[in-house]
Amino acid sequence: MSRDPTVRPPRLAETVLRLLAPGSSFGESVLGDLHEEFTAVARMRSVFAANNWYRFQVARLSTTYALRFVSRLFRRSKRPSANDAFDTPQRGETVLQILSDIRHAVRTIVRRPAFAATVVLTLAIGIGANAAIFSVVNGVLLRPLPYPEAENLVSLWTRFTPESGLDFQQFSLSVAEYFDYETEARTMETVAAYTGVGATITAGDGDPERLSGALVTSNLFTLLRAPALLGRALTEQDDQPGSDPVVVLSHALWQRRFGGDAAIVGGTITVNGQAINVVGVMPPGFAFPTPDTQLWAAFQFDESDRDNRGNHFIRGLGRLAPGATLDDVDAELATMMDRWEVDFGDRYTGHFLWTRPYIDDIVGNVRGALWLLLGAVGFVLLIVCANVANLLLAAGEQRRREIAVRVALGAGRIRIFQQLLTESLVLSVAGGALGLTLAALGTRAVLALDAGGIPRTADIRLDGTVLLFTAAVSAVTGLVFGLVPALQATTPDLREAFTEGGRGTTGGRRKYLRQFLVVAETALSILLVIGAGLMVRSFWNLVREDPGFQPHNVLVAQVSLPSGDYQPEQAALFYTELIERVAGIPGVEQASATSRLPMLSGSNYPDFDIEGRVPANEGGQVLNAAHVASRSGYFETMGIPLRRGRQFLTGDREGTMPVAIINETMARRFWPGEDPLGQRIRYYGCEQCAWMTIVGIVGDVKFQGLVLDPPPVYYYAHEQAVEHYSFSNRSLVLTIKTARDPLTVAPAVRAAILELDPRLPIVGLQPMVDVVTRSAARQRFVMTLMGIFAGVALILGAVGIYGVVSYGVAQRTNEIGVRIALGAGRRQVARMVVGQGMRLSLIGVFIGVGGAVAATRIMESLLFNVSSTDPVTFVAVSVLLTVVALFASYVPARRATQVDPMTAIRSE
Amino acid sequence: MTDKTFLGEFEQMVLLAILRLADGAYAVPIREEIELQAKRNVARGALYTTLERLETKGYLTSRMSDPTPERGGRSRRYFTVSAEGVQSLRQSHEAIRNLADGLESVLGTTQ
Repeated sequence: MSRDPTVRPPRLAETVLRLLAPGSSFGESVLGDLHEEFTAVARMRSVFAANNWYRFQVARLSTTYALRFVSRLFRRSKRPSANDAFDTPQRGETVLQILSDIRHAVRTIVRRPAFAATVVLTLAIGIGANAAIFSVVNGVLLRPLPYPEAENLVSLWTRFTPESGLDFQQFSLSVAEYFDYETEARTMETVAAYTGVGATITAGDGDPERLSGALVTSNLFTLLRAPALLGRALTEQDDQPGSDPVVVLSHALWQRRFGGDAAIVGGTITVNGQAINVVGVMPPGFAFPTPDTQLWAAFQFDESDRDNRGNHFIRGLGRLAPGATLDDVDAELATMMDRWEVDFGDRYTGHFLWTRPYIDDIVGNVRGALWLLLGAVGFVLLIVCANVANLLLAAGEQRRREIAVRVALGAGRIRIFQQLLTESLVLSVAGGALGLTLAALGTRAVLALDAGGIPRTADIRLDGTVLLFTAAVSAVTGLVFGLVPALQATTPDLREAFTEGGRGTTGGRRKYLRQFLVVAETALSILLVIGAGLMVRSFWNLVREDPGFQPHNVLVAQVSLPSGDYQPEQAALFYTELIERVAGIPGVEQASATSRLPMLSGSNYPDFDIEGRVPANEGGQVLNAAHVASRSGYFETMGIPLRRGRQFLTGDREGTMPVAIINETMARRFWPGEDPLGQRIRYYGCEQCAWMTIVGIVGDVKFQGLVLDPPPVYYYAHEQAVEHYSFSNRSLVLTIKTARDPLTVAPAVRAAILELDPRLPIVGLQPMVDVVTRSAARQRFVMTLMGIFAGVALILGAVGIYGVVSYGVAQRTNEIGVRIALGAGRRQVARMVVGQGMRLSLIGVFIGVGGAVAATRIMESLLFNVSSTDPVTFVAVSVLLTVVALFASYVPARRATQVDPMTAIRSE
Repeated sequence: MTDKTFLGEFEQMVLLAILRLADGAYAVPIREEIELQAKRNVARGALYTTLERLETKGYLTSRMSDPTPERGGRSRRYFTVSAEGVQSLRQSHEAIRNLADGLESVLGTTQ
């Protein structure tokens, strides 16, 4: 069922293999074989499966080649043998030799426990952080969604460009748009529609409960290839308007509320006060579209729904037809949209359908953040490598005599090289093992950090892929930090090494190498700290961002009345009664309610008409705005400022003039240069609805999180809705202004609701401040992790500078002693030593800042009101790093000034 | 003959698979053939290493085909068992046969 005959294996994996495979034509044939098999897997299963297959094979082959490389390295030191390979005695010797090297390495390492502990711990931090972040990336971004051939799932959206008079990048579909597309699309096997709904369930065990459900077209289940576990999923018959309403339950709901009783299938449960037949139970783990969706029912669109192009409230999901690609879909869609623009005129000017892979709907908004974190944590690992390499170089200096002795006694260079490399690998394996433990804790900590910002958290775990990743990272780390010191150590100048206390200018190359490592470390640290600094600035801007209302001392709670039990009039009366009771609770200053709470509202903005203007269906401008039902006193409880006109009054009830209050954005957008007060608006195309007179303008409030600008909004009086629009919101959010900590009145509010109707579920009873805080969860998450990484980088960088400078001081003790004896002042000595450290770190700062200018650009989409080259951050971080470097060099400099010239010279 | 080391079990399987495949023996079908006939999972890495080794020893010769698009424009490496390879296989088999001689009651009737 493969789509494109020209599918290519994953590029990165292929490159890795090309680097590791033998360079000859033999390597070429290996790559070719794998490519051929990849194509076959892609054809038989899917491109996604083939990609994973390919990566897995590359991982296995790479391991083989890496092991072979190492074992050859070991064998080369033996006498060359024509009959190598599986010649048994020799193979045994090789293994023995490796084992003996490992034993020797462990002994050497254990002899210097402090050094070993430092190295292993440093490595564990680097490797552990990488494993933790990778396990998140793996679970969220790399693992396929739990549907067969999930890579063929495509989500369907609409867009309004400013040309249409609106500006929404990502918008729902209207019912007519869905049906047109569903009928016309040839590049899709199936197209389904769905929308999330709230459902109150009173059947089964336990209290009444407010659950997430979904209205869907029945073909959704075939599209997802998800058959029911018990009974059946929805069928075409269920889509017909007028057919008996039926519901399919999730496995979790079935277990929890109905004790897993199979007899529920065929039985009846009460949902939203209505008796509905249960026709099936889905298998465990099936949850669509959100992880908490518990039941599914059919839309049952009737003729008038099918003609409605104005009301955008459904979402589309498609499965690619066999052989089709996303490009084919887009090409087809482009032609379709051209035709619609002709057929339906203005409605499709600046308004069109678009698609993207379904997984982007779920993980799209965290993808950038997660890759950024993986990149950052990779930098931390590089710094760790530089640091450990530095430590090993220093240790190597101390062991030069040992090595020289061994060379003099006839040990081959390669033998010693192997020995040193084995030591590095043993260290990195130990670091990796400890790192994995840290990662297990770290992953849990990462998830605990975030309150709902990351999707698919259930898929995050330390699985085989993560283990493989960690093993590979450990091995590569061991090679990276071990290779250079090992090479250095095995090119010894015997004469120099034997000269006791080789004076002053020790091995020029070695020194430069260590200095280079310090510069690199400093540069990488500054890059990370700048990244973290930008995130902090951005987060700071975000939390200072005015949401347009006062969340302090406000308690909110959602109440939903079952439609079976409450006629619209009863619902209106219920809320009047409830608000009165809540307002009477001691500690409550004022109570009201609204249908859409700020921060949490989705992007569903229906059409409306303005009296006296040409309606959209007769060629006028399409007018969209969020419409919100509010009770009197709403703006006061939320602290939303009134700009002009008046608020809702208790007198705005049935029998009085229907009124509306609009926000500033709506006033600006639809009445530029005019006075909206006194103008009249109406729900789009609703002939029987009354015209509402605009009586006030209130401030904008953030509707969807803190980042997005507020949409145009009009508020209408909930008390008037029944009479004038023959409609009433049964589900409202109470907004309660309290005198003190809002949680203190929470129990009383709960009691007041249940007193009126003990069957009502109460959802999201919480302080409004929590709602605001949670909306910045993702930024806080990225900021916290970047901050931790930057802190680690900073510490490691400082340790690196300290290490090099103090080593320099130790090496130059004689020289410094002589200088002091010859009359150099302590200050001069200190300046000389500090100068050495500062020179290195300033070069690092310079390079790092340059790199940051280029690198922080990729963070742009994560930043809020901060430029990616924010000068304040750049300067502040540079100063910070310089100060840290100064301190790191000052400590050894002090030691240098305390050198006693007599001792120093005598020790010669 | 006493100088020669015997072929390993896997080496024998590889040589036999190549003989069975005649003209069409490159790594992908060789691996499939072994998995099919010997009912053993074969790691690609092990197979490639063994092929390379057998070629170094002179038991195999190979030639490259023309590049094909389904292989990303790369060539196939076709293997043929050399005379030396056949000779070595014979020796290994003979050794096994000699050792198994008279043990039919234990090993079953097949040989």
